Amino acid sequence: MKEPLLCVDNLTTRFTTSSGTVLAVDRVSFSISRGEVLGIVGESGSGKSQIFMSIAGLLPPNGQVSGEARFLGRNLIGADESELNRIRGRALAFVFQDPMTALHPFRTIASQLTEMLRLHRGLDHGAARAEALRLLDRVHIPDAKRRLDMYPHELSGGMRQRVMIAMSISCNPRLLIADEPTTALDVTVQLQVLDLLDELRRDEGIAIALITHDMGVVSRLSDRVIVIYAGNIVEEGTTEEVLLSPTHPYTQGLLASMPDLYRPLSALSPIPGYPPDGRQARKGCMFAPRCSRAQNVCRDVFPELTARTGRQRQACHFPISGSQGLAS
Amino acid sequence: MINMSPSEGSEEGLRVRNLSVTYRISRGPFRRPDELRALRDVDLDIAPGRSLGVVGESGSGKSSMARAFLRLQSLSGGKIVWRGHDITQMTEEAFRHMRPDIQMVFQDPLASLNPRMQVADLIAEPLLTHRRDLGKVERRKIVIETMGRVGLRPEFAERYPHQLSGGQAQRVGIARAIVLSPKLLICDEAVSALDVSVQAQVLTLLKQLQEEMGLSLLFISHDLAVVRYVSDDIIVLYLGRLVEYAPRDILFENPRHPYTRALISSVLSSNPRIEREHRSPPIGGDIPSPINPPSGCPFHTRCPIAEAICREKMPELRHWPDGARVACHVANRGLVPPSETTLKGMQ
Ligand SMILES: Nc1ncnc2c1ncn2[C@@H]1O[C@H](COP(=O)(O)OP(=O)(O)OP(=O)(O)O)[C@@H](O)[C@H]1O
Ligand SMILES: Nc1ncnc2c1ncn2[C@@H]1O[C@H](COP(=O)(O)OP(=O)(O)O)[C@@H](O)[C@H]1O
Ligand code: SF4
Ligand code: SF4
Ligand SMILES: [Mg+2]
Ligand SMILES: [Mg+2]
Repeated sequence: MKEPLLCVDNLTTRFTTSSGTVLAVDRVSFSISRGEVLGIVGESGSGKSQIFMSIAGLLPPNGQVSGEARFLGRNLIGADESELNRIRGRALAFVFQDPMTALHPFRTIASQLTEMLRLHRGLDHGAARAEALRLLDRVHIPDAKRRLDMYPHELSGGMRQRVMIAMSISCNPRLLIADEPTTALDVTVQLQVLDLLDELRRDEGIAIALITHDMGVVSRLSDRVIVIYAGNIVEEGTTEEVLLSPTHPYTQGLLASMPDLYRPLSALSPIPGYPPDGRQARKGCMFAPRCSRAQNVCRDVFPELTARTGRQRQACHFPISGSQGLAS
Repeated sequence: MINMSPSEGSEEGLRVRNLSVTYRISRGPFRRPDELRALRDVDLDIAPGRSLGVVGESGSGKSSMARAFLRLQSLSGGKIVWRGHDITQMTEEAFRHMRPDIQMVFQDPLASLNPRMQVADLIAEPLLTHRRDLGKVERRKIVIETMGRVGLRPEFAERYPHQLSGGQAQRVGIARAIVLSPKLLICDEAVSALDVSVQAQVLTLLKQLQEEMGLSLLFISHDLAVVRYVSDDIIVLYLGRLVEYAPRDILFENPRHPYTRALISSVLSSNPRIEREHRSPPIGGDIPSPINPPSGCPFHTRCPIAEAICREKMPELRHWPDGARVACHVANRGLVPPSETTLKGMQ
């Protein structure tokens, strides 16, 4: 069998802080195949971003990782900086929520794009400019020639995000890590950008790790989903499985707390309480204090991620069965 | 409910006419400043106990509206009439008297709280300013009662803002806003910064408070699903113009303005089957710069059904029999006055 593009095994990330150790990512295992979109959903602080920061070797000095992350056959955890540098920005590229912080404010789009192309692909000035123009066209920036000589602040938010995407695909990545790529955009523009990402996956076979707190975004773009709670994967399956018949009480709770235009208007059922602090001691199921199905065993025994039927996996001692899933 | 003719001149609730806000943007020392018209001729009413949702993409003028209602922003035109009195014409003194009636919940719960004050003192602060008649004991009683209302247990009284989660901080923000028993609560993106599970708690709380206290609510959000959940009536803004108003169910079942339609069909569903079967983006392009807005209908640069007239003439807001109001040349053709139909029929 062909090895997946990215194969993460037992990844654990800790941060040492003055007020204790934060366990940000806890025994996480998953894989992403070529050309696949994997949605990574969870609330703020659940560990979504740190999973990929750990994989790409971008943790701050107070972070420590263990486990394995094999990308294109190489384990990136513990790889040396020069090897990581060769991979980052090329086979492995990022798109972040806020393009303004990733783009240099006082340099034109052309100068930022061509520098990257000369550095990473060794193009000369003329070729780099031609390629920059092609890339802006590729991400459907209208009137690309004129935009090349503009500064980031002269572009709309949606346009800046397209420029970021152009930069991130400039070296033919195999995996694009998109961390909340449309969260800062207006809804009409969000849909345009999601469709652009889908097109890149389809036409160029780029796999995408789509990090988001928004079930709607996942529902539109991902093939498969993992749900993160307090640093653990609590559920994994195809997008249809996870969103239409959630088996983990947290997944179901999230879906029931979200107002959805396509469901009849009815009362929301909020999940009581708040997500735990990363410093909290770990024993049993981290969701137990908020879970209506919790029993004694939940507070004592850590629920492993397992598949009971089919390929949908959940980390829960008392999963919800199909008929109890979301009714609407 | 907005009910123009009978309630015109009514002393109840909020009545806003021709609300306009203009910012001057400096272009350097020797150049005339640009004018940015953030709101233009917006009319709206909120009756006691009703909630009005305000939607629109960023820059459509939502926050400018909220600030204008609190006199944090001066108008370039129009009036804001609260229970029969135009607050834009009031003296400072008169405004201070009615200020407890209108309260606001802000977007960023943490940034809006003084980091050096404990929760109980933060909630007591509006009482100290506006209810000097109260003694310490009574004040304390009201604070604890208000904390209960917003679901903060008494042990939170001594905490500082940095010891709260986002949802808890937003509850403190709501407690500060309702402690004076206001009649109108303005929420500007009040749940946008919260996580989904906590957002649902705060939305449920707001709705419950609205019912219990008979509050009028002006609920501003870029999130249509959230607005639908909270609002009785909804207005849609685009580049500072009111393009559509309608009671909630009418707006979602029968949106008439092309921008409202585009907004609604851009909202994603958590049901992947709906996402798979349906649609490419309903409209392309971005919102044009508000400094140099398009001529005629502000939406014509992105509108899929624009016609020649749309580039020249700003469409009027016209009333439909079901209560909706729409500013669109093409959509409003469906609104043929009965007399005209009869005349045509007779020819
Ligand atoms: N440098 C750091 N030092 C200490 N703790 C950290 C550090 N960086 C992240 N954390 C903690 O790690 C946990 C996971 O953070 P992460 O950024 O992955 O969350 P996330 O799921 O991406 O959230 P969001 O949706 O808000 O972006 C959080 O508890 C966070 O506070
Ligand atoms: N203090 C200000 N000075 C200049 N322009 C402003 C100011 N506040 C808002 N604007 C502009 O006015 C328009 C409407 O802004 P705002 O009311 O904040 O919209 P929204 O809340 O709908 O995003 C935007 O174009 C914005 O950039
Ligand atoms: S393991 Fe127990 S507490 Fe955890 S989610 Fe399942 S039922 Fe709830
Ligand atoms: S007036 Fe014209 S451009 Fe404006 S929304 Fe209607 S059809 Fe579109
Ligand atoms: Mg993150
Ligand atoms: Mg705003």
